[in-house]
Order: sequence, then C-alpha cells, then structure tokens
Amino acid sequence: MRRTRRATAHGSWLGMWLGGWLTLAPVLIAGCGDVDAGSTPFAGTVLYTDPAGAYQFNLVEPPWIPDALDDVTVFAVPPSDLSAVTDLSAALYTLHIDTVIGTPESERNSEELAVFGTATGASSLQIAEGTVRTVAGDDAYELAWIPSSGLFERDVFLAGPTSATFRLQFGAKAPIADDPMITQMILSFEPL
Amino acid sequence: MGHVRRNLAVSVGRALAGLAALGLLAAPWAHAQAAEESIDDPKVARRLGTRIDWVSPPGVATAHPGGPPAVGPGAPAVPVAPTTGATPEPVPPAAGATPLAATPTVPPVPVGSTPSEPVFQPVLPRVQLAFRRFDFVRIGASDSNGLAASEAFDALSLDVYPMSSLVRLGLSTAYGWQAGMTSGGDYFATETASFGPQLDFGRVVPFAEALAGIGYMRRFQFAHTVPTVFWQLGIDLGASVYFARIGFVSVALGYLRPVNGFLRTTSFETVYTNTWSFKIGIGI
Repeated sequence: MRRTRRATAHGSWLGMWLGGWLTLAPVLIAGCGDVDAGSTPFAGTVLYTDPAGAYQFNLVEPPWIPDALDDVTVFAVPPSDLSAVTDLSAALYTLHIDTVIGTPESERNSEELAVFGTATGASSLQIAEGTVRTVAGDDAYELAWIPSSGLFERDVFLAGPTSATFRLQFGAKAPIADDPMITQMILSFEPL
Repeated sequence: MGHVRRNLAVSVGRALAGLAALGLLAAPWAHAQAAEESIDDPKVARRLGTRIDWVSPPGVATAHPGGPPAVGPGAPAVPVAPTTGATPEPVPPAAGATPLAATPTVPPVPVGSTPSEPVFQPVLPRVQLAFRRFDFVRIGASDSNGLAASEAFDALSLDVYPMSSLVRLGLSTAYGWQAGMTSGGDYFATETASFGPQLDFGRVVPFAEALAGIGYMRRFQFAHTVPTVFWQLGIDLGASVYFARIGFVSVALGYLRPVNGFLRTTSFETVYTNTWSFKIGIGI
C-alpha cells in the first residue's frame, strides 16, 4: 500500500507523541509527588537533629553542610569553586549554634550594645531588630547588622529548655536580614 | 433585387424560427431546463454522459424572471428571453399563489430572501505561541506559618498539534522563569504532551485537554545552582477565537500539579502543589 509523504509525516508525529506518553508513563504512575507543599511545613528541606539531642531545625541540604567543631556545630555553604577554600572565611553562608546564659531578649540587647561598642563607625551603623515566632511557638529575638563592607550578620536568640538560650549566628556575603530562606531555618528551629 | 430581398427576409425569418425551435435563442434558464431532459438515444446518452449545466451556478436555485412560467400541457417549452441584461426585481408572491418553479434538483429559494452566507470553517489549531503563568513554591523559603513561600512562574511555549480535529494531540516546548526575576532566579524547560477534545463552532473552538510534561528546573538556593527535575500534570479548559480562517487567539484556564524532584543528602525527594494557571496564545 502506497503511503503519501503527508501520511508518513503524520505517522512520525504520532510516533513521537506516543513515545512521549510512554516516556511519561512512569511519571504519571508514580509522579504525583511525595510532599504537598500546600499543607506540609518546610517542604523540600532536611530535618537536622543535633547529635546531643538539644535542638532540631530544617535546612536545605545541600548546599548547606553541617560540621561539628569541638563543642560548636558549624553549618556552611561553600562557594562553587572549592579549590579556593582554605577556611570558613571562604564560605558564602555560615551558621554557628551555641548556648548563652540569660533570657533571649536580654541576650539580644546585650549583644546589640556590644556591636555598638566595637563598631568603628558607630554613628553610621545600622542595626535591625526583630521578633518572630517559630512554628513550634517559641519567640525568637533577632538582630541584623553589617559589620563591614560585604559582610552581613543576623543573630537570633531563642529560649532553651532550661535557663540557657540558644544563639544562632548567621554570617553571609549577601544581605540576609530579610532572606526568606534564612527565615525558614529560624522558623523551624525547635529546642528538644 | 426586390425578390432577392424578399427571399433573404424569408430565409432569415425561417432560420430564426428554426433556432427558436431548437432553443438556441432561449434564455439561460431554458438551458438549465433542457439539461434536465434525458437523451432519448441510449448510445448517444452513454457517449455524451451527463450533460453539464453551464448556466446555473452550483447550489443556486434558478428562478424565472419575468413572473412565473406557464405550466401545463399547452405551455410553451421555451420562455421568452429577457430583453435586457438587468436582473429583474423579485416579484412578491401574491396571496394563495404557487411558489416559483425551480429546477427539480435544487430547492426553491423563497422569494425576497437573500442567499445564506457561507459557513465559516476555520483551520483547526496546528501551531501556537503561548504564554502561561502559574504559582509554584520556593523550596527552602517559608512564610511565617512554615509553609513554602509562593513563587510565580511565567512561561513561553511553542505548541504543535500534529493531530487536530475532534480531538487534538499536542506537543508543547516551554521555557519558564521566576516571575519578576531578570537574572538569578529559578527557571525551567519542559516538553509536554497534551490530549483532549475540541469542538468546531466556527469562529470559536472550545477545547479541553489533559497534559503531562517533564523537564529540567534550575533552583537557585543560597547563591548555588541546584539542578532538579520538574514535571507537571494538569488540565486546561479554554477556547480558540478565530480572527481569520487560519489565525486565532486562545485563552485557557488550567489546573496544574507542578512537581519538583531533587536529590537530598541520602534521598530523592519530590514536592508538589496544586495550583491554577492562566494561558493565552496566538497561532495558526
């Protein structure tokens, strides 16, 4: 039976279309997704639990990489070019988590005074204060400032289970005062 | 010379009478009427085949100008030809009058009515350039309640419909980007297959189609490019409105489930949401 050029082209299009659906079949069968971002908090993140069992929070891992240095757990986002990395100063983002003695609010205020005291150009130093409530229901007291050109700091204080206060110290080479990804890490923080 | 002139006049008169008897001087509709007559000789009929009516355009009823033709056994077979080429005014039917006669194979056109306009028959969609907007989520960013922050995407697509009739099969190649971000945002590229019915109502062709597509999505997280897999399932309801026989604009409202799959440290995780989409397009 003789096939016209048009019929052949039509057949090839149909073949492509059917092939596409066959390729998509596994996606259609198993591809409706695991986590509903419309109802599940912190979808797409990894829950990190402190090895000592003191706290947990969600982060995007990678690019965040956790590492324990002595008593302090350090999280860092390394630069894309790892060949130039010699220490933590090369990291694009860092997070130190430790504990201090005092209430979250008083610790935030004392740190604010310390920042003013050590700043060389204190008159031009801009400090932003804020308070957020985590999803677990804890109040977090924030402090954000720019210690030097190209560096950005954001510290958060949350009440621990005892008289201790958790201090989350974020550092970055990009503005983070209103970064929603940093905010998510704070919102998900929960003392255990 | 006088008798010669009289003989010539007589000859011309006879010739005209003969032509009139053969119908050659009759009006065009006389040809149409004659065309309906069968050929007596079967051999000649087979040789000549079906005779063509050169006068009546196809599909147009032939009305006799100058009033209704005479009917009945004593009526002349050839009506009088109009003396001018002007189209005579249609005669309004008198009460109780019989409708005008027409050729037997063509239904009569009511007197006083205009011929109906040809039906608009569009060439159903074959290629379309479209723009779609939908909301997805920004992985790793949250609002105050911990739910993932909304992230709108704009997408341009080239849609090809290799089959387009009562149903249409489509292939859509799309590129989308995080709305409002000229650089440094998320983006994706997908290939999507679609299937669904469409109804040809002339200038408006409503359609419904199910779609499934897969592709690549670049997520930008903490100054890092994170490659992920992106796919989507959904339905579109809309209509193509034709401004020409082979040109249309289309509008569609869709319900989508975009899914983002990515590698975590020890697992492959997928995140989805259900969202509305809006799509407009122009095509041929």
